[in-house]
Amino acid sequence: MQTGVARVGVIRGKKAHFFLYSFSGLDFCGGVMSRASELLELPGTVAASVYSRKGFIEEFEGALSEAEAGEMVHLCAAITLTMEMQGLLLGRMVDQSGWDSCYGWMTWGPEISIVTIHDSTCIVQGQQASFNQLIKAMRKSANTEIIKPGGKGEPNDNIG
Amino acid sequence: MTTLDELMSLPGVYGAIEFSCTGELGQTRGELERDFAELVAQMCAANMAIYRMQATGWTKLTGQTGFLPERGFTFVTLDRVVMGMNGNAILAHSKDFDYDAAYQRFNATL
Repeated sequence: MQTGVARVGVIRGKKAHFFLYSFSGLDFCGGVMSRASELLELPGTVAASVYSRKGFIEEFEGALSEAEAGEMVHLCAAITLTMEMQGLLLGRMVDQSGWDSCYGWMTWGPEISIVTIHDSTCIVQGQQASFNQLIKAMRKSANTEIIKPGGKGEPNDNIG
Repeated sequence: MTTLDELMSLPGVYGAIEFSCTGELGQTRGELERDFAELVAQMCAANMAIYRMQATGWTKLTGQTGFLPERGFTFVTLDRVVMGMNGNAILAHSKDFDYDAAYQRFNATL
C-alpha cells in the first residue's frame, strides 16, 4: 500500500509561499475520506483544516479559498501556542494536575465559532453545531491519524 | 439565583468568576485561591482581546462576517476546562463537562 505522497502547492501567491502537504496513501486507494472531509460532515461545520504545529496547511475543505485557509491556520496555530503557555502558567500557580495538557480551544462569535483540537480546526455555525460531538470527533480524528503532521511517520497515539 | 450560581450548577463545574474586559476579578464561587482566580480573570480578558484583534483582521481581510463582536472562548486540557463569555467564566473538570449545556447556559445569560 502506498504510504504517502507529498505534493507541492502554492498559497499566498504574492509571497510565493511554498508548502508541502501530504496525503495518507489511503486517499489514493479509494473510498477513504481525508480528515478534513470527514470533519466537514459534522453538523454546522462550514470549513475544516488540518495543519502542522508551525501553521502550514495540510488539508482543508469547505467555504474558504486556499489562501484564506492558509491564513486561518497560521492564526490558529499561534493561538494554540498561546493557550498552551497559559495552561503551563496556571498549572504552576496551583497544586492541581491537568493544566499543562492543553489540546484545544474554541472561540465564539455571534454566528461563527472556531473549534481547534490538536492539529485541526473547524469553522462552525454555533447555533447548528454540537460542541460535544465536534470535540469528540476531532479528538478521534487526531488520534487515528496514520502519519503525524510533518510526515515523519511517528505514531500519533495517546495524545489526548 | 445569580449568574455565577447558575453556572456553578453545570456538570463538572467547580469554580466560577466574574471578569472585566481589562482583566479585573469580580465575584467568585467555589474553592478558588485568590491569586489563581485573578490570573484566570486576566487570562479570560486577554483571550477575548486576542480573539477580537484576530477576528477584526480576518473580517477586514476576507469580508467574512459572523465572528464579531466577540462572545466567548474555551480553553481545553485533558483534565480541565475554562469557558468564558460575557464577563463570566467557569472552571470545570473535562471528564464531566457538557460543552453544549454550558454554551446554552452562557447564551441564556446574555
